[in-house]
Amino acid sequence: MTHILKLEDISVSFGGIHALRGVNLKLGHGSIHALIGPNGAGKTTLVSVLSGELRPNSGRVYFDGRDVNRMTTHVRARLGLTRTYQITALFQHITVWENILLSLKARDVPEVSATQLLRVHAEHFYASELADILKDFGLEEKARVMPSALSHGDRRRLELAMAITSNPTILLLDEPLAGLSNADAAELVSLIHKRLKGDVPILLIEHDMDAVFDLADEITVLVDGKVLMTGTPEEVRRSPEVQAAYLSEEDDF
Amino acid sequence: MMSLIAEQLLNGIQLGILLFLIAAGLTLIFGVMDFINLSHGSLFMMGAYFSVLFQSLTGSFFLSIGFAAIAVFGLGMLLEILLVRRLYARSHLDHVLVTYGLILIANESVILIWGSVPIFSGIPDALAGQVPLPFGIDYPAYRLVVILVGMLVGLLLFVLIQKTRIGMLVRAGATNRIMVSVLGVNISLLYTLVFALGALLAGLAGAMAGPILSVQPGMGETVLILSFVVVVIGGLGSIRGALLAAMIVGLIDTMGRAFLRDILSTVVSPQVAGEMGPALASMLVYILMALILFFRPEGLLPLQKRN
Amino acid sequence: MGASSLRLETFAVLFAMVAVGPAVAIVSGDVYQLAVFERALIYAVAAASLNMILGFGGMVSFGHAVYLGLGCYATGVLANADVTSAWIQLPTVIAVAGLAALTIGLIVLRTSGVYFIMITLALAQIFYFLAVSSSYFGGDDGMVIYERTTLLEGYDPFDSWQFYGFVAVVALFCILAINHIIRSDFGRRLVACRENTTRATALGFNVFAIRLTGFVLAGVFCGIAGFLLANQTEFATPGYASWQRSGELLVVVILGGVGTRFGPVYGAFAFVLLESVLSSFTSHWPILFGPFLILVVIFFHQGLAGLVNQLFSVRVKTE
Repeated sequence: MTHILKLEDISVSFGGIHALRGVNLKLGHGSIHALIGPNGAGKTTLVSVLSGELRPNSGRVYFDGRDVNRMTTHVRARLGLTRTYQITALFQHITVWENILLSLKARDVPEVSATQLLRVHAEHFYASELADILKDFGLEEKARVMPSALSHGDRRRLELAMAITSNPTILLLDEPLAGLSNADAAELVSLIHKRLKGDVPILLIEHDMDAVFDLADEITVLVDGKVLMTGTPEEVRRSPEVQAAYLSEEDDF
Repeated sequence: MMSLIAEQLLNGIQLGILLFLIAAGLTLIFGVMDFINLSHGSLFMMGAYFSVLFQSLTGSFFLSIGFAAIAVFGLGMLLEILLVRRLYARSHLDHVLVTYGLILIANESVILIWGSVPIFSGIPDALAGQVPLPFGIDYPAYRLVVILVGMLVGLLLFVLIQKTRIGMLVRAGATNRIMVSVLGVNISLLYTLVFALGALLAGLAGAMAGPILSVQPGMGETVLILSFVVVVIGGLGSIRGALLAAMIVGLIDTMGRAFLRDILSTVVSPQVAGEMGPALASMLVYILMALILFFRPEGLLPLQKRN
Repeated sequence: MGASSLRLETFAVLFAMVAVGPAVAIVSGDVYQLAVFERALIYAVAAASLNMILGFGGMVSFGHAVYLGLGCYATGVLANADVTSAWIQLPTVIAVAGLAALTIGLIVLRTSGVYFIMITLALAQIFYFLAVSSSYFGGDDGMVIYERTTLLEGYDPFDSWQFYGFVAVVALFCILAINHIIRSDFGRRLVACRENTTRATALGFNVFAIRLTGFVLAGVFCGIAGFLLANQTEFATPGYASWQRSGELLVVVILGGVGTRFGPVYGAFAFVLLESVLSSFTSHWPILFGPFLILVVIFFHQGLAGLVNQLFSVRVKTE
């Protein structure tokens, strides 16, 4: 069985700092794999390597068996590697509805084409799909609102909605619950359960341990740029090394 | 032949010194305030015109240079307080547009007051002769003095930036603006002084350049673009970079203009060389800048930013 | 603003754009007034092309006048070689300007911010010096163009009214085309790339390719403005490609309102008319224009388009 995502011996260093050292990680089809670790462990660096924004000093990234090392970010995105951002990256100049619409159009025609210059692709074509998405993500009432007027929770939902519309083959969720109240976080988690789990393989980076143990099939613990262990949530919870390394930073085990 | 090369070499250094003075101010202003000052060339021009003015008032060349520099310092302060400080929060495009407007005003004002005919401000008698140098070359005394004064000013600038408290604030401001404001320093005053200092350097360069170039409206613009090239090649915000780049640019431009035509005549006909030579010489500096931007966009001696 | 009032505004602006010249000429009885408005139309096209990459693409190009110069020289060279047909001249201008923009774009679009401004300036300077120093193109003095473009049988390019019509039609077409591109899917993507490059890339957009396409299109339309300029002034000079000219184009765009659909038209007409009126009073008109520009940038950032929008929305409300 090939894994949808495989990181082999990834090492990254900036100047004298070793951000990542020989990291190995595998993500199976249809599973949710969580990546946890104290601040500064190298999680964000790892995500940047995956998305193509950062080139590793050594090691390889395999996407469904393909070596994607040479591919730039937008090419990986077209292959279906979709990510959300710690700090929400939305188009502030257009409404919620238009944000999702753009995402849908990008899914169908990501490249520059001559017809794009000549017209606006009929929006009624996407109307029903858009309506479904808005309903699923609880954004129906906010459709004509600008992102700046949305609550933080709604913005996170919009990010997730846009991630879904791009027909992802893997989803990289970079701290999707950051900054959310407990209620909002719980809602988003159930949304992920409902709309994503089992469907699209997900690599989840999160600090919220409740959510992690709720959602994840597998957990990798990253400390100081190295993988401390990879295992089921139970194995991780019981591991003394993890408790030692991590518990000194986090209280919510 | 040797003496010709040596002479052009020295001319290149002299141009480099002038460019350094202008570029140092430009790069400081950009490094500390993130402000693109297109009117820097006009400050250079005002230095030349003020020098002409003071020379007619005092009759002394040396005094006029000093007064001109001070006058441009004052002008710089005025500009910063009245206009420039409103623009720090604006986009670079706005900087470009406003300072472009200043160029228009400056050039027209100068025409109104002095007319558009180029003024030849004479070299003072004391420096009119030639100085014998090694390799049997005789080099104009005035140009030599320009080089020496430029180097002295460069040294003073170095001492100011590296060894004084103000200099420390300037260096800190260039690499970490937020830090400096947190230190409780009077940022407005710092910015005003930095701008005025930049103006002073440009004005001094203009005053000294007067006798070499002719004093005319628009004389600032040619130097301005070259200065921007210097700033970019050296590294935005970096004074050491400006010095190195200014020397390179000054030498390439001067030597190119002097020798490219002859070099080309060895491979193509003198006629073609006569056309290609000057064209290529003018373009060389820009080609260099384009190459640097392509391969090493941060410049030759960039500042180490700590964001 | 509803769709129908948008169409009304479009029609009104474009109609006024081509009609004001003839109106002034007829009322004043002086057919040479048309020349001023031809100039305004040419600047409108050049500014509209710059507005596309500046106002919508976020690219501050300080070397856009290069394409004006290229279009002008290309036209002049052909005309002086007795190739005056528009059917040959226009495609040539488009090819030359497009190729130049492609080459320059491939280099400059790797940079951004200040570097972008500086490198567009530098590359424009390279071309400028080429023009200045080559005697074949007349060098510093420029090149007289002996023939105007011919189109069909019966079209007399030296008849003032017919020539104005020619310029107006070409300009109208260009402005309409540019506006169409801005409102198309491509235009929206160009804006998206400016608004949030991270998100745009994450959606799979090749931001570089999108910007390059916009850059080349802008160059082509500016080249066409150069084609019109060659006809109008019957002269090609390196000054058309100078950085001062590029600065002028930036001024026109900001005057009209950056990133608005008709800003370039308002800005061009305001600029040309202001220049024409002020210079008839004094040759020192820049000393008036300089402060005016500064005031506009500081206080009137939305430009003339902003003012017009306020007027229009007031009218819509009272209906």
